[in-house]
Amino acid sequence: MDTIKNILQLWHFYWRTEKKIYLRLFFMFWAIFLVKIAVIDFIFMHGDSEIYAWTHNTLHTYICMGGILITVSRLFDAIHQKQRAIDFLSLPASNGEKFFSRYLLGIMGVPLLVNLSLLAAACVVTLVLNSIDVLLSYQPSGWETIFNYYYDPYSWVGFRDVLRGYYPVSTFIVVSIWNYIVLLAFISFFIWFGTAFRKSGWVYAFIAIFVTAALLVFFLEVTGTGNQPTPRIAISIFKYGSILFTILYTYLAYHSFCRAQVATHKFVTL
Amino acid sequence: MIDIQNIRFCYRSKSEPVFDNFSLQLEQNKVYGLLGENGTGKSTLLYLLMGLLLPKEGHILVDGTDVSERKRKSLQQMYIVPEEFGLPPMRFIDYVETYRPFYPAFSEEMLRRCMEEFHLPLDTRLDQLSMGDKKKALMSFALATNVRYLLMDEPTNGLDLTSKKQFRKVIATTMTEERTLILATHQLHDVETLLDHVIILQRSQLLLNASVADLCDKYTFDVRPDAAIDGDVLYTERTPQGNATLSLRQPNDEETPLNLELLFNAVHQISSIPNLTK
Repeated sequence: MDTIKNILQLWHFYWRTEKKIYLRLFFMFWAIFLVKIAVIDFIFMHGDSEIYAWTHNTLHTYICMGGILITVSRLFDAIHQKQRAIDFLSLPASNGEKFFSRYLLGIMGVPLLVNLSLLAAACVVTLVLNSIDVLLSYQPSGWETIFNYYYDPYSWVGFRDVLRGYYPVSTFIVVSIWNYIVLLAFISFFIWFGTAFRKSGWVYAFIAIFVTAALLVFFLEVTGTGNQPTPRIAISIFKYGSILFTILYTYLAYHSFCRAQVATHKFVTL
Repeated sequence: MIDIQNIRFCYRSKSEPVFDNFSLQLEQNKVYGLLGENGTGKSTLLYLLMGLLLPKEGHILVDGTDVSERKRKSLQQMYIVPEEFGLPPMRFIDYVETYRPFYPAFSEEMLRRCMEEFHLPLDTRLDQLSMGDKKKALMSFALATNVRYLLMDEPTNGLDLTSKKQFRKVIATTMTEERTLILATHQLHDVETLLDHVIILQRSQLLLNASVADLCDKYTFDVRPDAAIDGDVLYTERTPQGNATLSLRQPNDEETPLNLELLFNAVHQISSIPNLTK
């Protein structure tokens, strides 16, 4: 109970002391989403359905993942600045509480809040507009279709379509749990390098981004979007491999986090 | 009790270790003055005590717990006021509400008392304060946490004369029996009336580790004319008032107040002061 209470206190502490970072990220997510739907969807929606599905679903997932990565990197950036590191590391909470509250906040906090807020906005817009359509008898199906999303492929994507478009997209995001597991491995790897190698670690972290992003793209291709049937063994290797790497990288990230110090340029031996 | 056991610490950018086989014990309920010239490792030692830096070798135990583990229980008993710090842009009262849940012994009454002494309102905005006022606000919060070990790095830097006087008054009135205060500074005059114990570092070595009571018992700090410089004098400095003198205290001599600057210079100049240097 103490640990849960402390994690909640830490979240409160992060929110109060780093509000601007979260708000900036929150609105950045919204902006990325709106631009993506309004521009990219419009370009591809007249093309074939596979490309449309890829841009509408997979690309959106990538954007969300990129956003999560930025969030996490900003959150762990605290221990790279001496003054903030003193404040953060001397705060009375265990290493585990500090690490996992940051980790959970980065992965589940801000991105989940953005997803949920977009989903809520999409539901409200869909509900209101479909209700008007039903009342004005523009839609023949009646009240049972009130939550359904109608998309007119021959008109420019307007703001209401943008938000309504999020309704099916967010459903896809929520169910693609494997993408998140791969992402966890990616993020843990990133934190590990970031904390272990400190200042010079960003070079390694970018290499880690490219390597893991390549794996991620390959993983997504073989598990859902490709035309060719994928051997089951390949899917299993990626699925269980990603779990294994997630655990390994998370442990390494946690270990380096425990060894994090206020002195910069400090190589921490694992 | 803080027990520093044979620690070795060096920064990656420097080949020379800051501490090598360094040991020190700090007892409870005292005000320690950690003195030394720039670069002697005062701040590094404070960071090591908080577990913000980790020694390469050796251990630092606070009440029997290794601080490098940064456990919640031990961090709840320690607070550091760093020389340079950043405060979030919020009202001080909100800052207190954000941080106080982490310190179970936090005293609102003490916070009010400190802020009153420093003439700072509780609802002041931190981003609108001067550097000195920010420091006073942070020190008020630090004292109100009621931690057992309070570490302050150059606490009087950036404070004006009035604030320094307020600082001394606040420290003197808020010291409790359970608290150990470690003041790392080179502003000797600002803290000399507060100290119970003096630790002087030089090139990461312990040059002096003695209680103020012992020092005042064994030595006399006074100002003498040239004619009065006799064989008991261990160290002297010429000042406008005469010769500031450190001498062995004779049985009939009255006890004199500690002259920290004179002592500091003496231990740096003379390595063979009897019973003085470690």
